[in-house]
Amino acid sequence: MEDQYAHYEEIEAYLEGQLKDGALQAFEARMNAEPELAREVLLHRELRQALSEQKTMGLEDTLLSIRKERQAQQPQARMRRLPTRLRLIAAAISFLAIVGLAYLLWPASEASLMATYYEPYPLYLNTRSADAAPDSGEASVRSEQLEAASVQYQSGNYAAALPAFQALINSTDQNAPYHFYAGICQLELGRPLEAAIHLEAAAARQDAQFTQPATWYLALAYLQQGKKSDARAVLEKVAREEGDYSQPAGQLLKELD
Amino acid sequence: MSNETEQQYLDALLAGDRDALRLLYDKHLPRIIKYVTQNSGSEEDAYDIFQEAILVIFKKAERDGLRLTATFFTYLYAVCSRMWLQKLKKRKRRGVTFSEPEEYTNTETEGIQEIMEEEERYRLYRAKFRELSENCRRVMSLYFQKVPMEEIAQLMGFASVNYAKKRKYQCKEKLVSLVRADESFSQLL
Repeated sequence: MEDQYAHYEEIEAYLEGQLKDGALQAFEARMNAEPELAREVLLHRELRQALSEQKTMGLEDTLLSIRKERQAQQPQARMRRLPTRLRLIAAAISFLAIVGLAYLLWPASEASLMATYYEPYPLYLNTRSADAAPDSGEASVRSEQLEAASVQYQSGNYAAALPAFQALINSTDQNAPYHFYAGICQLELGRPLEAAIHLEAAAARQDAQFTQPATWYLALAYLQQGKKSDARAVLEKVAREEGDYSQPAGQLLKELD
Repeated sequence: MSNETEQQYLDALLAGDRDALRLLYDKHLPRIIKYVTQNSGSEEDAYDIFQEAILVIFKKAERDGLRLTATFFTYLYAVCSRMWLQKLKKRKRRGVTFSEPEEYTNTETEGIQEIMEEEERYRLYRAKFRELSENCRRVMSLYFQKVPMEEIAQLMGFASVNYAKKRKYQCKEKLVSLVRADESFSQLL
């Protein structure tokens, strides 16, 4: 990960004109010698350009929503125009297509939905917050543990971050954030059952910041275990509440239907 | 819009006027659907082409200050037909005969090819960007708008600037891998 991170940083430095003299010449020489690198730089350049064109993106959003509106009104109208016999044939074909698709896609759908919707949660822990504990000795130990957990989590080293979060869970009753991040680590390590235990604990603690994210990831942990009805129940709760995850929860519910 | 000139369609497009865009769909899409479905395409293809052509015209107008010398529809039709021909070529249906009325063939569409090719790639990038999480889209939008990383960390509530950089990297890596995983990507770049 570190190598790739440094590689991206170098490409961005080049595109932002931050490479100077020898570093710039060396990078350009490498681009000349390595067509793959030249293509990669081009892709990064185009991504910057395409995604900074705010007006084009806004126009495309508007066009997409108008198209959706129009197409939502169309199927019924089209169906009404068909003669009865053709309507029956169309219905039969649709039914067979749906059954066939369901047969082909059902076993993989939950795992692929989980993969589509999952990404590790950003780290929102302030390492200095642990200093607020009344006992200064404990506070210092906790602060070190938090620092260690944060560094490992941010580096994507979830196996090393997990024991640090587990130590933090045992160090305080206000442990919803630590249960939450331990749950994410377990998901990253491919252990949804263990993840669900931490995430259930995090969600149950009614922490204003972490309850909804914990419930969302709990749904994903259930999905990864193939527990579709449990996932659905949890998602319905997330979708009902206001927050960053209510919209994706609603969307995921539709895809599960 | 009923009494407005053709140039005003273009002005409305540049302003992103939703009502005017709805009118464009109502007035011009049926003829594009007819053209595409008569030339080996589906209604869905026609919607795609129509939308893509509007974006291309928008970009052309924004970059070069396009002035219409024919009706808006003539220009739109010329762009749509050129785009559809290229799509069909990619689908390896070179034997298809096109019904292209004479009045549309001479329309000035100079300089549009480059934008069409660019837009084909940029549409893919934007579509993949929309697949990112809300958090990633916000980080990446701020970054692409050249907001300093210190400010991004603050706006996003991240614990440190270093973490903001890591997060930006994670999001960009996800975006790049989504783009590369798309089957059309290898033909586009």
